[in-house]
Amino acid sequence: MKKKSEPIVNIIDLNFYYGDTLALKGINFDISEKKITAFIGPSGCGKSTLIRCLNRMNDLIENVRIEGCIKIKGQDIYDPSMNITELRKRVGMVFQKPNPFPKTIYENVVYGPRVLGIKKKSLLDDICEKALTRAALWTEVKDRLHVSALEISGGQQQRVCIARAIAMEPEIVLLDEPCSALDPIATAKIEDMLVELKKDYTVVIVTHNMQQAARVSDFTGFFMMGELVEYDDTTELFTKPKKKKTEDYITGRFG
Amino acid sequence: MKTLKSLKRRKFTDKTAHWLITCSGVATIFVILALFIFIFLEVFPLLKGAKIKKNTVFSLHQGAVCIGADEHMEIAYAIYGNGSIEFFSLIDGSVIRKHDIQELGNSHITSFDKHKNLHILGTDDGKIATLFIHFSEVFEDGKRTIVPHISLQELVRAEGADNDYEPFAIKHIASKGDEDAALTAVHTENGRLLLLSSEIETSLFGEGEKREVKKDITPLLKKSLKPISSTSGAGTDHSLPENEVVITSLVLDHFMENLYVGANSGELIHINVRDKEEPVILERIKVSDKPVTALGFLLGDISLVVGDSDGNINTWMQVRDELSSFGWSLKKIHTFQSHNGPVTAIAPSVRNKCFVTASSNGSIHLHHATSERTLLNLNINSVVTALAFSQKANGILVTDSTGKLFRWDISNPHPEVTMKTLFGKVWYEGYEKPEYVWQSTGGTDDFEPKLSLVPLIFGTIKGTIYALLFAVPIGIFGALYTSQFLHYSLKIVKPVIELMAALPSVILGFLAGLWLAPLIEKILPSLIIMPLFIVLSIATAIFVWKILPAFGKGRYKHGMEALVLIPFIVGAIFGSICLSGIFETFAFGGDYRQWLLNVTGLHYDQRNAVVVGFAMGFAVIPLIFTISEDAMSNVPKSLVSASLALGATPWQTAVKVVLPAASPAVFSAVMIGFGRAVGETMIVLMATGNTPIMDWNLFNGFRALAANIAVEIPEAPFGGTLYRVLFLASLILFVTTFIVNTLAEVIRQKMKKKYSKL
Ligand SMILES: Nc1ncnc2c1ncn2[C@@H]1O[C@H](COP(=O)(O)OP(=O)(O)O)[C@@H](O)[C@H]1O
Ligand SMILES: [Mg+2]
Repeated sequence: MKKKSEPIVNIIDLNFYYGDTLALKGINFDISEKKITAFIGPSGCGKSTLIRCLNRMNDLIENVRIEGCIKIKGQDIYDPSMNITELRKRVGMVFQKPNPFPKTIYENVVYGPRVLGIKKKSLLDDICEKALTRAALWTEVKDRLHVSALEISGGQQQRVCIARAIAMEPEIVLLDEPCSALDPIATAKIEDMLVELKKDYTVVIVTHNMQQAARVSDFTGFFMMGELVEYDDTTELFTKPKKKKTEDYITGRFG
Repeated sequence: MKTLKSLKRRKFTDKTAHWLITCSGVATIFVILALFIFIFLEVFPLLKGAKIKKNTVFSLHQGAVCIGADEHMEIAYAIYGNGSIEFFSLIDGSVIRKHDIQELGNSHITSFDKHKNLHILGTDDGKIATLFIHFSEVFEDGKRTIVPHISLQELVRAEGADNDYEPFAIKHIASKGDEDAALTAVHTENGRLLLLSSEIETSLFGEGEKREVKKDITPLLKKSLKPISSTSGAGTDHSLPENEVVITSLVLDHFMENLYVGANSGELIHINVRDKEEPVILERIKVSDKPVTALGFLLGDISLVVGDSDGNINTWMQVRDELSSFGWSLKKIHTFQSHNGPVTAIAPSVRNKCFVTASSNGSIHLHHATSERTLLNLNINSVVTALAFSQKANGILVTDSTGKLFRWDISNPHPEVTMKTLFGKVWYEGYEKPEYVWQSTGGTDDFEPKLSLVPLIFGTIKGTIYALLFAVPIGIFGALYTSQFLHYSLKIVKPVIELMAALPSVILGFLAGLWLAPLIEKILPSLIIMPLFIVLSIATAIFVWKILPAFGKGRYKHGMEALVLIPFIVGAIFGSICLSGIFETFAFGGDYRQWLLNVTGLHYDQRNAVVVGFAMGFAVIPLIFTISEDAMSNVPKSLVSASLALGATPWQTAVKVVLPAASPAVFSAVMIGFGRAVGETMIVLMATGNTPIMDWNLFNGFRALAANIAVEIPEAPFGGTLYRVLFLASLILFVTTFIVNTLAEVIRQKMKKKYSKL
């Protein structure tokens, strides 16, 4: 069993409603710092909803309601005094489908820093190189930084998106099924990169691919019908699941 | 078998659909092309110059002194030097009637002037005969016959019957007059210049009493021998023979006020003869290096045509001049193609500003004054003795010394239109300098049409710019706000604004002209302080919002914040209107219109560019808004999410992600708005004063091309010059819109390519 580090996120009694539909029911767990935490579960069980709660991306959806609280480093992110843009700078996000801006690779990566008001070219160049290196893309694109990000492969686009997120130096990086649209080789590259990333960042990844969760994550949460069924050390969960439902799911009896 | 049948049917449907679509596509293109061709065909005749339709030659008995013809160019008359007059058919040359002026005896005609139907003839023995020649039309069996009439109205002696002077020949004569008064200036062989006036004075009892005054103004001329002024162009020539003015021509205007005397020295002497007893020399000016040989007024008696012995032809006119002692001075206005020999005759048109000049060497030119063009060059290779320009300006008659009469039928439908008159500065009669003027019709027949399209194009641009200045920011930012910030429960805003587009522009124009224009005039000072008030109130609102407790703001009511602003903004608008009076007193000393006039010299028109900007803005906003909003709403949500997830504020996201991604559509929205504003007619028509002035001033009106068409169509007779110029205006609009739309589409496609790989 891996050593549990300090929790960076506390999720306490979280209920989430889309209109009248309860999408998350009484979620309670902590996310550890500088570890990779994976959410698995059949589709529609609320993984994306939960991960979007962590940087308040759900605010964009009309007619939603949240109960309970989520604390990041002890601070309630749903407190009215919370500055949402500030929160999002601290909690970066990568989406299921690569969504680079229709700009150059370089402009994509430095979008966040530019928004923060950084104008100095040399500083932006540094940030870009560092982020792309972290995203394991630098060697591939360093000669094509000023090519449109729409003109590179899907796997590369997704890594541009990851580089774009980590260029902000967030505390937490959220990835919602980042490899679902990618081929196995690109997936492998991203998985390797995630393991590197965790040295500096807390990573939360949603995946429908159990092998992926088993391969890269330190902790895994298994969700079903909006409920957290089981949350444990990854090896523990995959080898000795405590719940029948978990066992059924990971052995492929449903899902 | 069944599949084969259905396959066949599908193929048939495919083919039909294909053909149908192709046909409608081609038909659309064809219709537009046909429209273009139609408009072009209407405009095309403007480009054609004058041309000779027919040239006929007849033989007379001798060279005539004076010729003329009826309105239809069917019967001509020739007055011969011996005092006989001949009417003859202009169709076959046969003599219809002969007439001798018995009263003239053996006198020989040496000079003549023509005014309407009056022919004033001066003789070699000092007599002045006034002949009245006119034509009447008789209809018989549906056939028109023209009957000439002739009568001698008056026969006087220039020197008077009772003195013992030996009679001198009258070398030059100029005469004008009507039923009540007549004025004649004669130049006699012995070098005297006489002024003869007769006036019927109606007494209290209704009896007319003829009063005649005779004035010898030769001494006056002698006094003025030192040049009073001279033009820079001709240079001052002080080496004139000091003792003599050799008069070469005379012309008198129909106001019976201005007598111009052309001299051998190339000078023109302007004598004011309003006071018949006390004529005054107003100006003496060098108009040529060579002797002046012919003088004549153009229609309206404002422009004076001067021909000299070198064949040069210029028009001159009185222009306001502060340096001159009486406030005016003669200025050279237009220069025309010159003859090779001395100019001997000038015949103006009684229809337009065309005139014909003839030289003794037989060359005859047709000119148009306003457009400064020489339209036709004719030649008869013999000495011209008399020249006439037909009343409908469609024919020229010339006799030569061998007794030949030449008739030219000409077609010259649109002499006043050239590139220069349409798009250049032209020096019009009554103007102080060349200017761009649109004034197609005037109150009188002798009006000079001013057909510069420049003020109209200027007006169109002005209206479009002000409308777009107002509409583009509101349209785009409104779209940005609605698509990105507005709470979903308020999405109804969009259909409401779209409905605005369906508002007929007549209603907008009506509201603008009758409601908005007076309103703006009333509250203009408050409009100036309003932005400040609104900014202040927004700042207050934000402050209040900040200090308000968190309670009630709602966690998710994203986009609703703006609603809080509404009461503040309404308050600000209301407040500024209330303070309008105080502000006006404080800043503009009580009346801003007066202040504008005093400080900036601008005149405030009630229906001005601000009003049009507003009203046309309202017509354009829905267009820009709808297209932009659609495009902005269609920017992939994933991009917006990506930006927001990177900690960008919604505002930053809107500007950095949404706007660029939607920019092709926004661009074409602006272009479509531009097209609408350029072509907008009713709003401009109703919300401005339609004065075709060229002034960027916000508080002046203007006249746009489209509105001009609407204004002028009732004034434009079918096929006339104005009619065609209006078509030209529509061609310009058509081509502009076409170019703008094509350009917009090309640019849009290029931009779209850049953003298409989303
Ligand atoms: N925008 C939305 N509006 C309404 N219901 C939603 C929305 N997004 C997700 N849901 C519902 O919430 C539940 C959880 O969805 P989601 O979090 O996307 O599941 P997962 O990511 O695990 O597949 C599903 O039943 C889904 O139908
Ligand atoms: Mg999901």
